Amino acid sequence: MNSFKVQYTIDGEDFSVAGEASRKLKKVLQSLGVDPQIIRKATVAMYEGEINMVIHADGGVIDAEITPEKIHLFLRDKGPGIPDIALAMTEGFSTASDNVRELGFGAGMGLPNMEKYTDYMNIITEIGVGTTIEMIVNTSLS
Amino acid sequence: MKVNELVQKLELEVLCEGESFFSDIDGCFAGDLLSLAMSNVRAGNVWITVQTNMNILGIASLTEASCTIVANGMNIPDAVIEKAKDENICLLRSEKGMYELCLSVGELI
Repeated sequence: MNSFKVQYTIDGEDFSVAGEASRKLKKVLQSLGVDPQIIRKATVAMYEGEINMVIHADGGVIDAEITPEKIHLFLRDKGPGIPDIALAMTEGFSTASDNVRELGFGAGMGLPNMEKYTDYMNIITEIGVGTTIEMIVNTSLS
Repeated sequence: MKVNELVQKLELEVLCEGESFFSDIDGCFAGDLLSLAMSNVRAGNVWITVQTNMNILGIASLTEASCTIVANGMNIPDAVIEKAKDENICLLRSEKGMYELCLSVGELI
């Protein structure tokens, strides 16, 4: 398998279609014959990131690069930034609105789940400028 | 047990059969926090929830749940049912609450 790149634009306006990019990535990974357990890890992490981009940042762009060794995800938004990354990484902490919570989100599990399901995660954020999250899921099962 | 057999036994309302209606059930998860569902629903699981918004279809599809049962007879927007049909996702409903459904599913599968 050669390197495969794909880009998804996340619409920040329509909450009801949040998750579409993750579903598309899943189909790509399936077509490339990636192990189902690896696909699960990558799609759960990307779904959480995608939802975060819709809830907090009015959308953004996700770049995915799939190589024989890893799935590399870059999530970029022009949202408000994360003031305290350690606090944001705390399970249960959320700044989501009541409106979003009523839909079943905003439980403060997004970023912790993203870290849990990936082999590497790095957050670069600047207040008022945006956030970039890099995630890697290794495709070898070991 | 297959999804269609569960539907018969529990007298579930079928809103959309989807592609997994005749497939095997493997386990169950009940819960309404979508992040929790996303990380806990396993392929083949029955997912029981009272959430009815469009995002349940994303969870059901990504996790490859065998079926999603909306408990307590919650009203489901027509647009969600239509989307389930478009996406071929098995969407069911019951008048029973989550506890009763969990007990019944637990006995049957």
